[in-house]
Amino acid sequence: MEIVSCPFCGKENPPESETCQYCQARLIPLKINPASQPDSIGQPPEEESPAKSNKDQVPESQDGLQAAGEMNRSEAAPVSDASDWLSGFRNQINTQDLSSQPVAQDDGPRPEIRDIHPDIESGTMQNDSIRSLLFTDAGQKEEQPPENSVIGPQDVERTGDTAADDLAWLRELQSQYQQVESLSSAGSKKDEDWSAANELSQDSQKREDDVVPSWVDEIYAGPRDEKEAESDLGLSPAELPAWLDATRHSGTHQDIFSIPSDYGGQVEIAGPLAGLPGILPAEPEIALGRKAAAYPAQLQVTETNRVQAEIFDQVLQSEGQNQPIPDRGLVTSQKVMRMAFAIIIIFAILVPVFSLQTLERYPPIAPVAVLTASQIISSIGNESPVLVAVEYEPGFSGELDAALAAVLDHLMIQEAFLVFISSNPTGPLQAEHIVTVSNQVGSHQYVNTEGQIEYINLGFIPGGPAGLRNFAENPRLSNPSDISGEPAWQNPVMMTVDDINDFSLVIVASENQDKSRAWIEQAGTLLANTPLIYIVSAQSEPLIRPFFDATPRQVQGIVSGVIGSVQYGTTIGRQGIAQLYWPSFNSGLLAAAILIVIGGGANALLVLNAIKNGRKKGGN
Amino acid sequence: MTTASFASSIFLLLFGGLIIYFARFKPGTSNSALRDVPAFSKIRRGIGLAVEAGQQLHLALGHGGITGFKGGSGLIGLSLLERIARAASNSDRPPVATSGEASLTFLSQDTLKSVYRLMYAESQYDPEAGQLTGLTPFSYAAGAIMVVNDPEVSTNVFAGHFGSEIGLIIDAAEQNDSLTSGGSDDLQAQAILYAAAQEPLVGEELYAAGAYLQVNPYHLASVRAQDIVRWVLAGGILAGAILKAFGLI
Amino acid sequence: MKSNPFVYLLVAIAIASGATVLVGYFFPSLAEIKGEMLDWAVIFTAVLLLIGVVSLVRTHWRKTMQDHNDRVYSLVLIISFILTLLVTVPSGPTSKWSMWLYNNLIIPIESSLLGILAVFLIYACARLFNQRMSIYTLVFIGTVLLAMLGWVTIPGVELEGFKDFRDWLLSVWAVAGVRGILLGVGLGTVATGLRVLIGADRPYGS
Repeated sequence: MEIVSCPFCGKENPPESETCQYCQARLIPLKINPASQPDSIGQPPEEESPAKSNKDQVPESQDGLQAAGEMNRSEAAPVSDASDWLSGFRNQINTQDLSSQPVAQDDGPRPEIRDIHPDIESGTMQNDSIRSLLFTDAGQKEEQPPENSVIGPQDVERTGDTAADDLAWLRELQSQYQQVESLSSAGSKKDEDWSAANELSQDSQKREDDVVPSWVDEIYAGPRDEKEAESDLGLSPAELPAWLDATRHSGTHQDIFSIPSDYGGQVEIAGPLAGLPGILPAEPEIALGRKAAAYPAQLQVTETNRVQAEIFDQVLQSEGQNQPIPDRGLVTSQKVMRMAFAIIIIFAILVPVFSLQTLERYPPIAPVAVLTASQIISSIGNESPVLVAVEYEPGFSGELDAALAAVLDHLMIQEAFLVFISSNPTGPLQAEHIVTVSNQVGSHQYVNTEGQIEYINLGFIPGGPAGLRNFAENPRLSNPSDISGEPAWQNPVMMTVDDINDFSLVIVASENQDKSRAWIEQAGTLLANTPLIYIVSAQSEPLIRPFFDATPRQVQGIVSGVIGSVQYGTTIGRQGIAQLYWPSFNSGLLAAAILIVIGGGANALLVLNAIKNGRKKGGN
Repeated sequence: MTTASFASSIFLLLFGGLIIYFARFKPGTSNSALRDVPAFSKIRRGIGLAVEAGQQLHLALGHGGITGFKGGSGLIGLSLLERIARAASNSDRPPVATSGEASLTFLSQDTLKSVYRLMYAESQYDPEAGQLTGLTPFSYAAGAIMVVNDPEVSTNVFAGHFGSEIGLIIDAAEQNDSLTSGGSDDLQAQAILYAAAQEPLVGEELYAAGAYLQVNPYHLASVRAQDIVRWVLAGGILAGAILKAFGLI
Repeated sequence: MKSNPFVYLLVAIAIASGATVLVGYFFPSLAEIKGEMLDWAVIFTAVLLLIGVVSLVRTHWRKTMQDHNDRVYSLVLIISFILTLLVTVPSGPTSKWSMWLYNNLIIPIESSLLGILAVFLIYACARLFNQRMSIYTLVFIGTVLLAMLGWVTIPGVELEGFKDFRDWLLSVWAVAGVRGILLGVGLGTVATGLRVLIGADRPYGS
């Protein structure tokens, strides 16, 4: 059984169907009665409604136009059938000179008429599109004006008049199409539609025969009979260029709908370009009714993508939420350990204080630095000015008070005149404090009153190392008065001092190696014969020792920390603060060593165990 | 001019010339010239956290001022502050700098203000971002502990002159579960940092901070110049020791 | 980024000042100018100290006025500051009541902080392996223990060997390490100063 494919949806329909079962598109295009077509464009048709007189002859159909197409199909008439309403156009166009010669100026742009017969037969032509596809813009066609022609206003008017005359046939055609449209919309008027369509097609065929150029007809209907063409127009057919000839389709209606095997591209199956390969589809692919590809509803993601998407989702959800700061636990393992350590240390320090037994074992041997310092101080004469730089912070009073007090005790025994200075803001106060402590521990009476001046507090040296240098070079100018504002250099002892080298001894007490070094660098270079002794914290002793070990010595003596003060007191045979501190200091130090060994060992074992189990990476 | 002065001036000229040469003519990149120091990676991570997670970065500048030998570390701290401020200027919580010396405080405020001005965000500048927490070392530490105890502070960087009191600040930071990293020019502070801090900078690593954090090309050039001069000094010391051992000098 | 043109003037002043002081160290003819500029630096430092005190008080006053978490401590600071001023300004810094404040408040508070520091350092040494597991940590802990044992005296136990070893450790290894570190720190300081001198580093803002 012959099967007809719908040009729109591509589905198969029985041959007798006028419309597609699926998309209702016309399978049989409407045919206009050529008898109703005027002989030439612009002339009214002979009959206004010729379709009505032939309604009895029209077979039953929903659309007279389709019936016309069906009739044409059953006749298997070629496109160039005389009953085709476009034949009228063809005849008219054939009379025109379609060569490449320039168009005469008085002719003006003439609309070109294309063969739409195949489209009507196939039923793909929509009524509105018929009008739009009938004529192309003549202005788009490249025109070569005559060489010597001058276009003047009169020529423009003439061109317009000519165009108006040429368009009269268009108006006639439009009126005929309106009749066709009314026929197609009236589904019950089958017979009338059929006759009207037949007449319209015949009329249009006449006009087509008059207007449509022969080469257009040959494109759709194959090569024409040359004799017929010559008889119609009295002109020899034009030679088509090769590329245009190659686009011609010489097949029948069936060939239009079948895809030639030698063409790989898509062949157009509907519209005026039906049969041409490589044409962009007029209708969107969605109208072709192809079955859509089936895609899985579930998004194909990998496990990694899923995890990352979940994390991202959590981040987004938490973005607007306030993250409460987690409360720090009152009792944590770290705090417990700290507390335990502190209790053990405090217990170790307090036990010697409250125990009846005292630890009388002191460090036995005094180092050379301590011995040298004691020897230098022993050589200080009565009322000799000794400069004491108090450069340690109040926090280090516990350690350095003991060391400095032992040295000051020795100086006070020697009845030296003490001059205190400091580059620390709290240094002058610390100096007053250590004098008080030394008086209490050593039972001395060093005072600074109006009647008795045994020491002077020169106060604070501003400017850091630069200030130290200034003081070393000219102490009178740097600090002209003492801390209470009284003139400092009017004392008989002070009057003998012009620069730092005039002091009998310079003592620097500091916990900080920077301050210690600053004194050596700024003031020590100016000391020619004046010895320099350092009283330092145990933490900075290694940094000052090179100055003692150097040749020549830049520092003549070092008393370091609690141990140094104990050794110094032992050397001069005096019991000072250090001897009171020593038992607690000793036991505390021992407890600290034990804690470090036990705690460090336990931590090391835990870490090694964790590394062994692969839970923790090794250290740096 | 004495011999020592002449030698010193030659040394300074050569050192400065090396810095300028490496900065201008042989820029190089930090990846190729510098060894890996984990502390700077952690500091960079802290800067990133300050920007992305809305956490605060605390830079401790110490109490050494800008004069004298202690001033070098203070200037390094200011360079780091500028770099950190540039990176974290659009953070919800801009960095805070604490110092124990007035000149450092004003310079830190000026540095922060300049950075915000360059970023066209001067309105975001807060003078309290550069704080003077104390005038003595221990009072400075006590004031810095208040800043470190803030739960929003996630990273503490130490770049300046500190003494033993740095241990108190590190202790407070440890209790706050925040990162502690940095260095000092003081040896006692370095020892405490090594024992207590998570990422210490030992020796002159602090002075290479500008190169690692890409403050400007001159910092990288300085590190390369220092390496050369260090080798020269080491060679000179070794040569002197050998000559002294053989009684030649 | 736009740069303030005034910065170039600041850079010029900084470079000129630094260069003058540096050259003054090498050429005696410029020593007078160098000394003058150092005097200015000393004065600036003292003035900055005063301004720093004012800034400190102003910051804590602002915290006291605002709804700040630690406003109580700021209030304590301001009260202490006022009290100290009232005591020391009329009678002097070394008067009876000034020394009472110093002896009974400042020294105990700072000494306590140092005591806390001692406990913290012991705890930090104990858990150093947990933080940094390496051979250097073992060397560090071992050196600490040797130094401590070189100081203590235990009844009935002779620790002279530890003492001699400690002395050798300190005089050779510690001193050598210190010198090396100080050399590096010195080079770094010189490099930092040179960068300021050539205008590469501008701590005064840009």
